[in-house]
Amino acid sequence: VRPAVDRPDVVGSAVWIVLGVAIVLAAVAMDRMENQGGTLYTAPGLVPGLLGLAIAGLGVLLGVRALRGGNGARAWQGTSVVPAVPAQAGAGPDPVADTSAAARDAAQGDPRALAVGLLLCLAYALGLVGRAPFALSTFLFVTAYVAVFEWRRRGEAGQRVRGIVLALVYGAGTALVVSTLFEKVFFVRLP
Amino acid sequence: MFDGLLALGQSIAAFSTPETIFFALLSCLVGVVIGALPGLTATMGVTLMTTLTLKMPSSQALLVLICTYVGAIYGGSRSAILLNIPGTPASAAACLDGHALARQGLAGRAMGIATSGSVLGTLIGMFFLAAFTPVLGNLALRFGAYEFFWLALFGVIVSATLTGNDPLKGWIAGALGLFVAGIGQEPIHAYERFTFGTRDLAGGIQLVPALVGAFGLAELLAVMYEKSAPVRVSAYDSVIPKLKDVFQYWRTIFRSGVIGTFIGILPGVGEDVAAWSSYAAARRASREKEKFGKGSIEGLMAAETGDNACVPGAMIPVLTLAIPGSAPAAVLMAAMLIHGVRPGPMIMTEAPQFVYDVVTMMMFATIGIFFYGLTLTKLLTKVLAVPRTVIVPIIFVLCAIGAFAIASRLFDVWVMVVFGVVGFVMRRFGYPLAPMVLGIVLGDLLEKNLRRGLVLSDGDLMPFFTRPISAVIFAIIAVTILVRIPAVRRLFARRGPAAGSA
Repeated sequence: VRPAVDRPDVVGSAVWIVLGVAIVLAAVAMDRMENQGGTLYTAPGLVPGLLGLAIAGLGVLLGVRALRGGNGARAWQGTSVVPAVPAQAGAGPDPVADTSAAARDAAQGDPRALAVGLLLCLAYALGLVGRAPFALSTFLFVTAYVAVFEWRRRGEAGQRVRGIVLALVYGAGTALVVSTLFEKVFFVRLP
Repeated sequence: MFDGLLALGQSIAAFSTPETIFFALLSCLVGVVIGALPGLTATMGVTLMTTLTLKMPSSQALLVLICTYVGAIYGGSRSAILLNIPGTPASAAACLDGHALARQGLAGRAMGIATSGSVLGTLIGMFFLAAFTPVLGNLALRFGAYEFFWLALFGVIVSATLTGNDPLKGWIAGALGLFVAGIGQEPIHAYERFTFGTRDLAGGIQLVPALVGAFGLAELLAVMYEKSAPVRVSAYDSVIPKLKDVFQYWRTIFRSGVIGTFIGILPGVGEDVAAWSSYAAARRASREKEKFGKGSIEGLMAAETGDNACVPGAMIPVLTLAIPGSAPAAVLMAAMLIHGVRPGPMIMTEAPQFVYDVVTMMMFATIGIFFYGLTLTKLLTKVLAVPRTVIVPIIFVLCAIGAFAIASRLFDVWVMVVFGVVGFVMRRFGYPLAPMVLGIVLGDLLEKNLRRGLVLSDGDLMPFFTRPISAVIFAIIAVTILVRIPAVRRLFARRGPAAGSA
């Protein structure tokens, strides 16, 4: 049976090839600074051009390997020092002793939590920081993050109000402690 | 030799002040807590502490960073043993036997073994740091443009090949890092490359914001993505290390210490590879192979000795060649430059005492982890129970400050976010981030020396291959790449038996 094509690596390969070719084209178009006595060896595009070639070339290799399926990748991984999946290591609560639904659930990723968390982080880093006072931005971000991520658990436990109050405490505490520690104790400028 | 001992004595005397000891213990504590908390790595800890120590005197700032580094690598073993979750990637190997011992009701003994292994590993690494740095420093004085070009490439290739589990993706990550280093004004004509007309990009991508993104935000995104299982801390007995374990496994300790230090010297490879390599070597040499993975004291001792010995080892190339031996060492190198210390071949000429200062800082860190190894267990179990939903936003706030504070530029916060998101995606698809970071660190060295070498030789490539040291480094790079290519391995495998039968 022909092994299945490794789709993520095919996409990755295409990204690297496009990036590599774009770098090479940009490098070729760069000024060689000949008016300042520059030669091919001192041309600003020399090293980026070589790196672009390397990225595109490695992208081609990755693509060929991905199209051949899983065996190609395994052959490359055969001599790795760090195990691909360390047996037992990092599995979290012992799967033998802990057969709870929560432990089984933990083995899978949570894209929704990732999307919400990333959105909050982006709102803080790109929207609030630098535009609003740092302590206020931090208070809003930490409070919102803790409240959103604790919402379900607190709701199930019938402690929603307590959860929100705790989120406010965490938000205010973080804003106060971080601002004081960095600005007053360590004299670090805050955004 | 006596000069060295005298210099070490002077460093110890200079650092033995109540204020320094206080900072050493405090930063070790911070390191142990960061290391113990799953999702927070040593690199992230050292990067965040770099920001906090910006205005401190250089010797104190570097002491704080080194203590945080050593503390974090040690702290990772706590969650590995108590939760079966490695606090840092370096502790993944310790999960195997550490948590198996905890399941047998021996969590305290496992923590004692981790403490003795970590302390002895750091001491072995310190010995090599003190002994090898002056020798390697003097050797590095013979390096010219050709050698430094190969050395920079060697760093990226070795890191890309040995970290992660797919060398091809490692090489891509390394090449990407080298490319990122080239963004902004190039070193000879100050010509702006890939800046798209933006003034912020003309200054280039700074290392610290990129690191905070790649090792801070990317880790946090991984924590958000992984559904956290309920935290169940194993019960523990006495955590006091047993001398019997040390004497019984002294060979394993020594072997793992040497392996860990050697892996540390290899550019950008780091503590996780040191732990796994030491673990594998201990298993091969052991008379009790069947116990490995089921609660082997020898296995846990090997992993913990190896990863901690890697820390002083990683400082050797930083000091002598300005090439970091691990990702946290890359941050330390950046911090040294911020604080006006210039690591590299001239260190033994310009600031020989600094090498012994670093050894002394490691010594203070060792005392710190030993102290916390005996005293901190109860507090750590409480910290481990703090929900991630509280820790994640606080750490992200620190990431934002960490990225901003070095140059007071909002642009660096955006760089952190971009590197965090890209780093997370790359990790999800199996690309190691250490080679990318090493590429960013070494890109400038590689480019300057390649172009300088070509100018010196008027475009002749031969000196890159014919000068003795260059030829040796080139040969190592070629072999490192070739042995990882499956087609080449198959060719040798086919030729081997044929040659044997002929």
